[in-house]
Amino acid sequence: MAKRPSKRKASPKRRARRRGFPWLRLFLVVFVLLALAGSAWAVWLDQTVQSQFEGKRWSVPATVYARPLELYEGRRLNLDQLTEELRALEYSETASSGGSGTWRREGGDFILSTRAFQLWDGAEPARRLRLSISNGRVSQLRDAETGESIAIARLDPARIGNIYPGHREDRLLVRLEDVPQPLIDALLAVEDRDFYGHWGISLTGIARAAWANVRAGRVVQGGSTLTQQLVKNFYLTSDRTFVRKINEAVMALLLERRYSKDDILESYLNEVYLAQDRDRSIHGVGLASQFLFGEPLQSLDLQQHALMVAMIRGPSLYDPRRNPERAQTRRNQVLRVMASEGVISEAVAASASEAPLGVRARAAGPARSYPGFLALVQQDLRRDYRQEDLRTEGLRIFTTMAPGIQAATENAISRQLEGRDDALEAAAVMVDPESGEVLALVGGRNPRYAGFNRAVDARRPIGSLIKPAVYLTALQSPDRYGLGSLLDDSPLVIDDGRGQRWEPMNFDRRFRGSVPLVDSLAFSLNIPTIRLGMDLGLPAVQTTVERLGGPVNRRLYPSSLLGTQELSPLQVAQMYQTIAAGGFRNPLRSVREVTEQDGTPLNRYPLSTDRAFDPLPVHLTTTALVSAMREGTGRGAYRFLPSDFLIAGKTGTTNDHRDSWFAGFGGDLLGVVWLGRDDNTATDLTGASGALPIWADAVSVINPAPLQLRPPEGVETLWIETATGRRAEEGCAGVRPLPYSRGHGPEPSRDCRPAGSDSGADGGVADWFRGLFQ
Amino acid sequence: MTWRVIGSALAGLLLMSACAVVPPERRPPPPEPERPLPPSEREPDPRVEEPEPEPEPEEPPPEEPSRASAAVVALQTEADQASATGEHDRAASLLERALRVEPHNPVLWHNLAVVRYREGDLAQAESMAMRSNRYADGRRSLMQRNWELIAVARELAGDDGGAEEARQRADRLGGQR
Repeated sequence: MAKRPSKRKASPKRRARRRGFPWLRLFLVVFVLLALAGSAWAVWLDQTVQSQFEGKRWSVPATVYARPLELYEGRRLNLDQLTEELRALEYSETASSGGSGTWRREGGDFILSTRAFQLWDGAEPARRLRLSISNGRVSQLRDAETGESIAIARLDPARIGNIYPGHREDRLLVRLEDVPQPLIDALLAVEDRDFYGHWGISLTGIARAAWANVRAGRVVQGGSTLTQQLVKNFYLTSDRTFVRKINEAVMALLLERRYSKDDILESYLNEVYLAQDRDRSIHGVGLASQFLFGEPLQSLDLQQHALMVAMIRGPSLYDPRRNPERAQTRRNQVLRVMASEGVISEAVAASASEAPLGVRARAAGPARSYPGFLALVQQDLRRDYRQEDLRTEGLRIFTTMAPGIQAATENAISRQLEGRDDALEAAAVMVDPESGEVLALVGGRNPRYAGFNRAVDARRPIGSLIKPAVYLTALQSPDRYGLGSLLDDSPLVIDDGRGQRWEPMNFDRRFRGSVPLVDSLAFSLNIPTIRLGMDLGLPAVQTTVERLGGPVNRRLYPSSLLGTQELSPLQVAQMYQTIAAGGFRNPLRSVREVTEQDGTPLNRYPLSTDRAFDPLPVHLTTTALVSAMREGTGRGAYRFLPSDFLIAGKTGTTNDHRDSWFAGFGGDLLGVVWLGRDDNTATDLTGASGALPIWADAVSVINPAPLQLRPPEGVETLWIETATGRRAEEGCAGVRPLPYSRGHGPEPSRDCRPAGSDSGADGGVADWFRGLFQ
Repeated sequence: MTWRVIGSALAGLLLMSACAVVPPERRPPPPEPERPLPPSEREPDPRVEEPEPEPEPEEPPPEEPSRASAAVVALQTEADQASATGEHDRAASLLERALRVEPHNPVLWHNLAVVRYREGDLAQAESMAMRSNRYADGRRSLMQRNWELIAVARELAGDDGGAEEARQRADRLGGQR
């Protein structure tokens, strides 16, 4: 350009050359350089503006939900569990009939006003349910409006956390067409009334705001346009320098040149910071609506729209929960501005000003965070999702967590460990044994602490929790072993062939001579277990461990039979799940479905099951584990539970009481609890005195279904002489009923022969419903 | 008997050779999903006439109160519709919900096995049919259908011996008297 000056400019230049050529030349050079720098700067700003606007504008953290509570008549649900579920959902109690997300009692019934929610398999509408609970069950479920019976209903799932990027911003993206007009009217009236007229900055706006502020004697309006505010939030730091102001103005102009007004407005509505939820900042009108009112934008009233607009100027100053009066004053100011701008009438503004704030109540106190469970969720999703995607794509993760069971487990730990020294740590996993879904997980004694997740990452020797694998191995050979088979419980010395001698002992350091197999497991005797395991072969036992879902172990020693192998509580839960489900292994899962933020399904993690064992030996093993709870090492559980409540379980203690374990199950709940110290020093606890009471405490609160001992095909109940392990009859002395594989009963007794025993080993009592423990 | 075995083997071979190359949706149709009935309506299979080898339990062992079945029937009905329109994932999801209501309902396990089969997941179809049998409590017609499904699944997976064994078990339950 400089080389081809136009004719009109040529003559002064020639004159200048004659007068002061070097000065003009210098001026021109400086001018050109400045112009170039200015252009470069503008291009850079333009690119900055575009780069943010073109791609993904926000990193939206994944939101993690608990499983939705399903309600139907007959469902086991006590008041404690319902209360915990409603607390996790942040439903508030109201005196009279309230909006979505509220509940109240009416006589003996609960009236729940549920929130509409988009679940993986469709939308669950907001409705009012009338729920009766009696004897720990839902006894009636009706539509509160029509009185009609409802077969099944789901509540919305409780939000249990987010997977954040570096900052802790959360938002629920909305499209402009889904934003109600009154909200936009209020926003434009208060923040930028020339929005659709200006080019990004508004001189008249600045003047008007200044005048309004002078008249009011304080700052009631800002001079920045929405575009400038958006630019400031999007691209710039919050320091108030002159350069930043210039940048803001230029970028606002550039943004306006490149993008439509609607595009800018939509971005503003999604970007604006509106509230603080503990450590999570609430951005955008979509999430703010949920956070403040518990309802989607579309169902808000005029005064609620006005309140949100009011909060833009000071999310903390006008926080309606902390400063309700200030918030109300500011809201009414917004309504007045709307009236003076003519978007609503004076009468409407006046009546809206009379309305209460309409903000939903929130539980006070520290955040309910579930770092242990969330860590498991992220681990389970690692296979299909990059960490980056979990943090930025706004995914919705629907997990298997049951808030009531989680709370009961956390509370049981804190209750039972009260007064214990702080170094005693704890971990627990609760699982639905039929589906393999993880219902609760506690990674440490302080369940809110997001540190070492012991339930998943701590590997500790499992002690006697290994024993059911030994007995299950034996019971798979019904021609060799039955529950009544006598095992040798006499002193034992094992020479490992390298000069090492090992002299294992029973826990009570006594020898019983011989002991029935069922009692050896129920009372957790070490010596008969080692003898049995060595007869079966260590690899055979290890195969059982692995088929149960336990980890591979190649270093097998006789001491492995006492549980030297190190497992996490979660791995233990997998092994016991296989037993609890009758030999069907279901891989443990913490996630059911993942959707995009708008509900579009992405992944479903379906139920899967593998038949790892024949049901019969698993049934026999479970029978022995029931015996462990009735008469054996687990009987302390009945201090917490009704005496007729059928459960199966096993205690575990390791050397020097370093680890206290318990694993047990009822009909629809399996729990594993571990106690110990991170530095692996001794505790003064056994499995029965440490972990068991925590499990039993939690179970007594949760009130799950009791275990059902359903004999599989091919089981018969025989009367066995305890002292000889031989088959006898009901009326004989010293006998008890035990389930056996049909046709594999032991030799008949010499003293009290069963009827028809001469005809062979078959026969016996076929009444497999005659109770074992009645 | 020998002819019957040979016949079954031939049929199996034909089925397998026909199906080895066709996509899942053209595989031989397994039994249709069963309708779940509330426990009160669950009568013994009318075809079971000869005395059972084991005595029938004197009292049925319902683990959930019978009212819970309204929830299961509602979910099953929805699952039927989803399955009929080829929405297998949705059908499976509904059946899984129903199983959380009644985890020992053998009909639900059977139907989930059928859905898995239609999705082409033969291993899960077999496992779930096995699990249905575990809870079948002597319901012979249901067990027969489970074994038939297992036989077809094994055939398609190339396990001829296993398929034949399953077929024989299905036949034994099918009341060849």
